Amino acid sequence: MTKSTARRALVVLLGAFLFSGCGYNQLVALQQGIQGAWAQVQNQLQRRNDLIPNLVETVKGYATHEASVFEAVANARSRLLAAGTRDEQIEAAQGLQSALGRLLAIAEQYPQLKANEQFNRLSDELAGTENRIAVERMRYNEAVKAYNTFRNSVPTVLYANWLGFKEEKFFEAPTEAQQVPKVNFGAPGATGATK
Amino acid sequence: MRSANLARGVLLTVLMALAAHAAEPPVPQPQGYVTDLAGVIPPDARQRMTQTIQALKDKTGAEIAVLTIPTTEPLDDFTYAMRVADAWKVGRKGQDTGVLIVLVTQDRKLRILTGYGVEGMLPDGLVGAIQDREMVPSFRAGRLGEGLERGVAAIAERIKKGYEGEPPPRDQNQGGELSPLALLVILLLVFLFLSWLSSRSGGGGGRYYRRYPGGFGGYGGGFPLPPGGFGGGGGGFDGFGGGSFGGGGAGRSW
Repeated sequence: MTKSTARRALVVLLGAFLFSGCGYNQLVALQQGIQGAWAQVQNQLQRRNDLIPNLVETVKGYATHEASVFEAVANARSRLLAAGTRDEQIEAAQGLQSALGRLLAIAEQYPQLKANEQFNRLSDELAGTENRIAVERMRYNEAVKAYNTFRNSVPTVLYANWLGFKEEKFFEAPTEAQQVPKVNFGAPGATGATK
Repeated sequence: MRSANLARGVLLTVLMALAAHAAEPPVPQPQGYVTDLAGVIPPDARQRMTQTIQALKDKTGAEIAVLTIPTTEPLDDFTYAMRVADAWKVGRKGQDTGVLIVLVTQDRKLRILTGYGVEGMLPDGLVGAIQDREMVPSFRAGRLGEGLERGVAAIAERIKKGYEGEPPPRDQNQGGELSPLALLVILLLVFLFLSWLSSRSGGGGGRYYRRYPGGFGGYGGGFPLPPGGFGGGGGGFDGFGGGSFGGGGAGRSW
């Protein structure tokens, strides 16, 4: 009688300790933050996917000999639509971004296309969407970083696995999209003038 | 000899890293709706733009901010503009109806960012078209102020159209305005302060002449008040509303 009561009290105490006192709630909150940020990323990826058919049609009207690029874009787009897990979606999104880079690069070679109002609008929309993706990706990565940092610090790291909290992966930009910042040493007055 | 070379190399690398870091342009304080750090906007153009934006804000609650800066190196214009937009928070809070126009004069770049709430009225394609039609031609001709003015007018027009048929917004921020009683109390305090000053320094305020060689004119009102104490600055400008941005907009170089 007394023994079982004591054991029950111990279990309750241990449970309370694990689930609220030691970061369980915060792990859940941080994970929710990641999910919210990921939903925003998905919105923008979807928006880009919706833009692509129109853009490809417009480019096709001028650049008829670039079938391989159109095919690459179409394939990458359907891979993204078919992707299930978050990791798959990230990978497919990166593939699509580089395919789109090639599509816009061929457009450079067709002056008539660059003068086309419809094409200019669509490429502005696409560029704006890429920027939105970059912004949401940054916010997503910040959420992942906050979660991983907390998950991998003592004491959470000791039992996070046991509670089913895995480390989350970052959404890296594809290497082609990462631009090395240009450093300008030739403008000493620049910083002074900005203040 | 070799270690001296090595040390020099390390020093150079550190210096270069420091220089690269130091060269990153800071986010400036806004000086009203128009912040002309590059010094390319004539005063009358600046005033007309401020009026256009103030009228837009009174009618719709939306805000436009204009910033000119010589260069954003080593950042690209988009990254820099996003930092400014996040810091300034142009547009009404909760509605995110803000537009930020950044003109980078040395880099010859133009970047317009649209807040979440105006993305529908100003899709990226339309922003690009406004840049191509209204702004870039003037920039190419060297008339930077004119291009900005035309751009602000076109954007304000578009946002007004988007709000057509809706009642003008009520600003929740009415607490910021002074009640007549408070105004009376402040006037009384100023009067007392002034008479105290003149009794101390024998009518002429000579003490303050000595301390502020520029004379009283430097403080505009004729008595020493902290700058900006009474709504000074950009003609009724009291900071932006609190809008947020998601990266929408368009950019051009010319």
